[in-house]
Amino acid sequence: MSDLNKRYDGMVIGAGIAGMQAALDLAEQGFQVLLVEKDPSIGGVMVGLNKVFPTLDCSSCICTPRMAEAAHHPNITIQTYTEVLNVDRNGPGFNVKLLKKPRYVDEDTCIGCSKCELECPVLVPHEFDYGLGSRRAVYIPHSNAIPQVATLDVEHCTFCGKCAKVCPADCFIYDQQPEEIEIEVGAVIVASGLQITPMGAKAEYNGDKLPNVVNPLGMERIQSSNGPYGTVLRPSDGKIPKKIAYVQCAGSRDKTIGVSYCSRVCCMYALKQALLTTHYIHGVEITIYHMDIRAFGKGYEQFYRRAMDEGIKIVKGKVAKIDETDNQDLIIRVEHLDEGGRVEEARYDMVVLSQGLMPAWKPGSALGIDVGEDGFFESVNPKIKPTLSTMEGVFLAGVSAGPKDIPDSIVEAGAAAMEAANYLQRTTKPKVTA
Amino acid sequence: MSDKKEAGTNGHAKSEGAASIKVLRDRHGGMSAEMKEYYKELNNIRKLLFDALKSGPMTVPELARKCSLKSETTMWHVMAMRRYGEVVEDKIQGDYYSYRLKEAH
Ligand SMILES: Cc1cc2nc3c(=O)[nH]c(=O)nc-3n(C[C@H](O)[C@H](O)[C@H](O)COP(=O)(O)OP(=O)(O)OC[C@H]3O[C@@H](n4cnc5c(N)ncnc54)[C@H](O)[C@@H]3O)c2cc1C
Repeated sequence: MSDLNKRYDGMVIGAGIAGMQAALDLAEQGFQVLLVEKDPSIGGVMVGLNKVFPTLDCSSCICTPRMAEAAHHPNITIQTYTEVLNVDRNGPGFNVKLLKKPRYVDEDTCIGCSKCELECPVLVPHEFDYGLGSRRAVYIPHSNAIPQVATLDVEHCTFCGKCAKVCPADCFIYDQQPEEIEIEVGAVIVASGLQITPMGAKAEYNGDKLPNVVNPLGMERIQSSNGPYGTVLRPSDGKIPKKIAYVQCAGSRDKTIGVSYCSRVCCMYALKQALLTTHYIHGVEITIYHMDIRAFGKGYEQFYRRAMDEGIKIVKGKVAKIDETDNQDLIIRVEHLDEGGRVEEARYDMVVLSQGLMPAWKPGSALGIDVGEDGFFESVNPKIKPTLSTMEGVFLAGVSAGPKDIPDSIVEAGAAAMEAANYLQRTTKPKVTA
Repeated sequence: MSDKKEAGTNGHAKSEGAASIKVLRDRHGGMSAEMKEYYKELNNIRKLLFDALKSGPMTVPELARKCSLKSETTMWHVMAMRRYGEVVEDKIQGDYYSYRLKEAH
């Protein structure tokens, strides 16, 4: 049985950097906040990034303190591994139905010792490493996960029962069931974040077929010291790559794949990854093929200049096709836009497709707020009050409202929390009558 | 944080692990045919790789050739073995690390 309260002032959907910030800002004002996350850990995309542009701070080092702050805040209750089934208006507030998925582990007694994971006989591609690395069928998502507790993935379970046998805390509950939870909340902040465009979106790039055509979040993990390989290697055979290409706008600014907008972060993450790779691999040669470089934020243009100064080749070119050779090197066919359309075929060890950002959550009838043509949640007043959704009492933060980077997501989360606080003050204060 | 153990399971997992896992197995109708196949293949590949590495350190392409496996499959498994402490990096040979069994040192 859930030990949640029956009522919270605010509910935040999604515990990425935007959701955590919104929850903290609302909680700091004295409101009771429920932070709901569908995955086993909070942290969102940011906790899996290697370093962040343009400062090159270690991403998990600046994200995990925020995660811990949210987890320890007396006014925040975190509900992980939980989906939002329904949000229904009830006066100024909402009736909410949640579904807590079974971990088959007691979150309160699990001590995160990993003994079950080490004993489990099944290896599974790890979501946190975008399939490049592995986990066991029972696993702790990663070393920075909060909560630091095990989850049993029953689809990959052999039902050997070893996990409970080695558990020193007796925390396995094999007969745990999905649990529907009903609560009331005064306001909702949606911070459900992003997914990247599918790797197969452009058939001519073979991103879903060729192992050395890598997704950019996978590349973040490859570059991370706690990533799937511990060092930068290519996925097909562990070769230390000496020639890497980035294909910009591989999943954005293209009507044919239904993503006509600019995703705003791809130029910068490509420059960041390229620059960092030159620090990790001596003598590596990196080319970024682009339509135009968009380095719009504070310190971003300087970062772009720095990448060029440090030898990253920035080439205005349209990549038409990516194929594989017998030894799994890649041949890129590119049309050089600055050279009258000269067509060249160039060979690389690895190619990163700079995929765009798409909304992670399509709630449909579960939450009756409008979605724009681009698929992101619509603001009722995008110029003056960008965090107001089309439903009173529901606010938007982070990439759920449109592509943006981490600083912009944080700023927007603060604004959404302030709007939610004002709304709660307005709707829950007793009316003064003359 | 949220889950509380349900009556009847609390504190019994260790001593009655075998009985309880039966509940989970029955509820899910046991392993699917697909999962059975996946698990069999997983163990076959791991046995091949362990046996091959007994003869000494090897790169991923060398291992793949010796075991007649696809090289990306070999890579994934060697990295899984590395993650769970069964193999470690040995010397770099050209553009490749070689890997050896951890006990074999
Ligand atoms: C390859 C790559 C590199 C990047 N590098 C940088 C960088 O260096 N610097 C920078 O500033 N930005 C970078 N970004 C952008 C950055 O990742 C985003 O700005 C940031 O992660 C947005 O945070 P968010 O909280 O809005 O979304 P997310 O991080 O996506 O978090 C959303 C959370 O909501 C959860 N969720 C989704 N749906 C539901 C639901 N229905 N119910 C409950 N929970 C749900 C998700 O599981 C997730 O935990 C990069 C992006 C990419 C793709």
